[in-house]
Amino acid sequence: MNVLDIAGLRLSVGDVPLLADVTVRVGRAETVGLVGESGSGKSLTSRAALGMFPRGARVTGHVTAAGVDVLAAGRGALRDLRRTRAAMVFQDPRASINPVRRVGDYLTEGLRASGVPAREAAARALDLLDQVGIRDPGRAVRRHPHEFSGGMLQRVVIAGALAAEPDLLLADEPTTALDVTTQAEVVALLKRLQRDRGTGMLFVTHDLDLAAAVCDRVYVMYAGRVVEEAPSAGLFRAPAHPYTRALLEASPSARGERAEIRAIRGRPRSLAEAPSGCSFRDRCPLADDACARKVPDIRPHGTSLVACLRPQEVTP
Amino acid sequence: MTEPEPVPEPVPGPVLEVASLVKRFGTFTAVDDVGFTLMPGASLGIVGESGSGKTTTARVLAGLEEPTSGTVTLAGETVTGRSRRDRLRRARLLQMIFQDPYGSFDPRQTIAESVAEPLRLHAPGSRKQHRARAAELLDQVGLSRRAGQSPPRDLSGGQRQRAAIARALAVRPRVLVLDEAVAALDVSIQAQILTLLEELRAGTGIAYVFVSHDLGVVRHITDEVLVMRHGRVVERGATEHVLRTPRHPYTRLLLDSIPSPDWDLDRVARDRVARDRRALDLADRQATPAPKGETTC
Amino acid sequence: MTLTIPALRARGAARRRPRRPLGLVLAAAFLSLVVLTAVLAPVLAPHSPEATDLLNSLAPPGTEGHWLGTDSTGRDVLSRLMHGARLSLLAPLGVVLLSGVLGTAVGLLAARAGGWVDAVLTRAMDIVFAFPSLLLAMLVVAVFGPGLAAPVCALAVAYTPFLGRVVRSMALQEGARPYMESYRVMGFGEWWVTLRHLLPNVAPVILAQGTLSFGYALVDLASLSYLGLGVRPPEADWGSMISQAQSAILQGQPWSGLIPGIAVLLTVVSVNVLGEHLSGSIARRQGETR
Repeated sequence: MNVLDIAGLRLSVGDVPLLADVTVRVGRAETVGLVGESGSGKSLTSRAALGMFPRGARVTGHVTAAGVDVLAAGRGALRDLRRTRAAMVFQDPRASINPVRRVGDYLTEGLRASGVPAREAAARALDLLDQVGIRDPGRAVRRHPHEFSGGMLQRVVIAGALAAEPDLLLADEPTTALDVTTQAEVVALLKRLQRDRGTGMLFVTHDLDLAAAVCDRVYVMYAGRVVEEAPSAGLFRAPAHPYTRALLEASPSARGERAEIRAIRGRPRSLAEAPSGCSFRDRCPLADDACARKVPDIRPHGTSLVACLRPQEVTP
Repeated sequence: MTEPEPVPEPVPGPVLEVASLVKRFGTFTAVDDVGFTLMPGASLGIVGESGSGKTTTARVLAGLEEPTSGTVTLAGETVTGRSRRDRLRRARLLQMIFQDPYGSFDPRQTIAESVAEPLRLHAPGSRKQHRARAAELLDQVGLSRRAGQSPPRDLSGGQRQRAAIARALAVRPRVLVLDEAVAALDVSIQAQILTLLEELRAGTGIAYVFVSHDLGVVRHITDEVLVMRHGRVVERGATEHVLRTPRHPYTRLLLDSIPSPDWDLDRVARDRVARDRRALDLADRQATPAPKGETTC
Repeated sequence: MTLTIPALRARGAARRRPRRPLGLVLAAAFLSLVVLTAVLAPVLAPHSPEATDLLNSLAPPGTEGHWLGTDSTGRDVLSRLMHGARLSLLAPLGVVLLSGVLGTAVGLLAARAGGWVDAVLTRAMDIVFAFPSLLLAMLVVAVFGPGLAAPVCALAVAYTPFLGRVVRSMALQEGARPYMESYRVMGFGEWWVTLRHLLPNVAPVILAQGTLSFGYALVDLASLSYLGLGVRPPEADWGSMISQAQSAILQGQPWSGLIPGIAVLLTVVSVNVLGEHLSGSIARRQGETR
C-alpha cells in the first residue's frame, strides 16, 4: 500500500489554475523526488498531501495520505494526520521553530499533545536528538534555536518531524538553505532514518542532481503538471522529456568532463501562463503544430513515463 | 552619445591587485590575509561555504567594508580613501552585482530610471542622453523596452538580474564583482545569465570576481579559483585543475559533497573526518607559519 | 472528490475592485466641509463672530437667525465655529509640519550616522517622549507668555519623538536593503542616497504618522485654549469657545460649549480614520513589494 496517493489532482484559486491532473505516489520506505522550477507547483503538491491548500482554492481529485482521505477528512482527522502519521520539514529551519522556546519544548510539544506523559516525552526528546547526531542532547534541549547553526537546527526539525514516527515524511527543499557539506550530512541523516523506520518520503527540490542522488524515483513537474516520471538512474542516463533534458543540459557540473551548458530560452511558466497543448512547447526545440493541439498523454518510453509526443527524439 | 568620463588608459598589468587583506569585526577575523591579482578580462572564482569570508572579501573590494589592513589596488592605483574623488574612481572601475535580484532596485523607480541613475553621477549629458544610453544597456542584456518601463516588482528574478547587470555596466567598469549572482535563480534562468556574462566578458574585456558556493557554476564561468575557509585561502589555481585534482582536503570535501547520481555519502563522511583531523593538526601547529605553496592549511 | 477552501472575503474583494469603506468617505467629506468653511468663513458666516447681542444671549440651537444658537454674550455660535475652525486647523497643521521636519531630520540622522550620534539622539528622544506634552507646552507658555506660537513650537518638539522613532527604525530597515548598497557601490554619497532613495521610500509612513498626530495636536491645543493658555481673545478657536461656555454649561445651557466640542470630536475622528487608512494601504503596498 502506498503511504501517499495523489491522483488527478486539480487545484485552482479563483479562475487561476495552478495544478492540472497531478498524480504522485509514494510507497512505504520509498524516497520519491518532486523536481521543478518556480511555478511548477511542486510545493503546492506536497502541501496538498497534508490538506494545506491556499485560501480560496478549489480542489478536485484524490489525495490519500497515510490512509487518510485528505479531501474528505474533517478538521479533527486532518489534525490527527499532521500530528501523528505525516510530518513536514521545510526549507528554513529558523522559520519553523518558535524562536523564544527551548529546543526541548519544541520536541516534546507534539508528543505531549498526543498524550505521552511529560517524563517519557523528555526521554524521547533526548533519544531523538541523539539519533539525529546532536552531541550532548542533555544540554541541547535547554538551548534556544538561535544557539544552533542552520544545519544543526534542521537536524532538530527533522528530529521533531520523526518524533511521532510518521508513515510519511514531506521534505520541502530541506537542504536548500544549508551549505553544501552540511547538505550532504543532513541528506545522509534523512536517508538513514527513513530507511531504518520504513518511512515513505516525498522530497521536493529544484535540484535535479540532488533528487537523483537521494531518490529512488523522480517526478519532474512543469507549469502545474507532471511531465515525466522515472527511476533516478534512468532519468539521468536517458531523459525522455525535452524539459528534463534541457534542465540537465542547463546545470553546470563540477565533476566529470567539462560540458558547455545550454540555456533554455524563455522563463519557467505557471499553469495559468502556459500555452495550450503541451505547456513546454513555447520553449521546446522539438515542438511543432501537433504539440499545440492537446496536452500530451502520459505514456511509457524507456524506463520513463512521459508526457511528450516524440520522446524518441529526446533520447533514442 | 554620452560617454562616462575617460578612465585612465588601461595600464598593461593587473586591473585589480589585492594584497594581504585582513578584515576583523571585533575579535572575529572574517578575512585573514587574502591576496590575488586579476588581469584585464580574466575571471576569478572565490568559493567557500557560509562564514568562509568570501562575501566579506567581495564587500571590501566594492568599498562597502573598510579593510582592517591590506591593500586593494585598481588599475595601478590604491583605492582606500573615503573621499568623494576616491569613491567615484573606485565606482568607475569596479561594480558589484548582489545575490538578491528582488531588493537590488529602488521600488519607486522604473527599471530604466534605475539603470540611468549611475549615469547622472558618472557621465555628463542631458537626461535624454542618459535615457538613450539606458535603453541601449537594457538592450545589451536582452531586456525589452517594456521591461525597462516597468517597476522592479513586475519583473521576474532573471529579468531583474539582467537589469542589475545593465546598471553595473553603465559606467563601463573594468571589474565586476558578482556575489552569488545566480544563486537565487531557477536553473534554466541561471544558464541564461551565465551565458550572458560569458558573452559580455568576451565582448567588453571586463574582468570578473565571481563569488559563489556553487562549484559547478564557478567551473563554468571562471579561469582561476580561490577556495576559502574560515577567512583564509586554502587552495588556489586554475579552476579546471583544482576541481579535477584537488589537493586540500577541504576542497575534496566540497567536491564530494556535491550531489550526483553516484553520490557516495560514506565517502563524504570519510572526507569530513579527514578534514577534522587536519584541523586538529593545524591547531597543534598554529604557531608555525604555513609554508608557501599551492595549498596552505 | 471536490473540496473548496473559502477565501478570505476582504482580500478577494480588494483584489477585484478597490472598495472604499463608508467611514473613509464620510471622514473625507466631513474634513473637506470643515476646511471649506474655514477658508470661506468671512463670506459664509451669517454674522460677525465678535458681534455681541446681549438681549439674545444663550439662545438654543434652531433659533431664527442663529441656527446653532448664541453664547453667553449673544455671539452667533455658527459664525464663531466657522471662524474658529481656521485657528483650530492651522495651529495643529503647524505642529504637524514642524514636528514632521524635526522628526524626519532627527530620525534620518540617527539612523544614517549611527554610533554616538544615534545614541545621543535616541536618548534625547526618550527623554522628550517621557515628558508630558501638555506640561511642556504650559511651561513654555509660562516663559514666553500666551499666544499660539509658543505652544505650537512646544508641541512640535514634544511630538518629534513619535515620528523620529518611526523614521529611524524605517530608515534602518530600508537602509539595509540591497538597493541602498548598490547605490553606494555606484559611488553615490551617503546623504545623496538617503535623501533621494531612502526618504521617498519612507515618506508614506511619515505622511500617515503625521496625519495621526494632527488629531493629537488638535486636542492638545484645544485643551490649552480651554485652560486659557492658547489663543488670546478676541481671537477664538474651538477650545476657547468651550472654555468661555463654562459658566453657561453650569447654568444648564450646554449648547454653546457642546457644539465646538462635537466639532473637535468629529474632526479628530475623521483625521484618524484617514490616517489609519493611509497606514493600512502602505502596509499592503509594502507587503506586495517585499
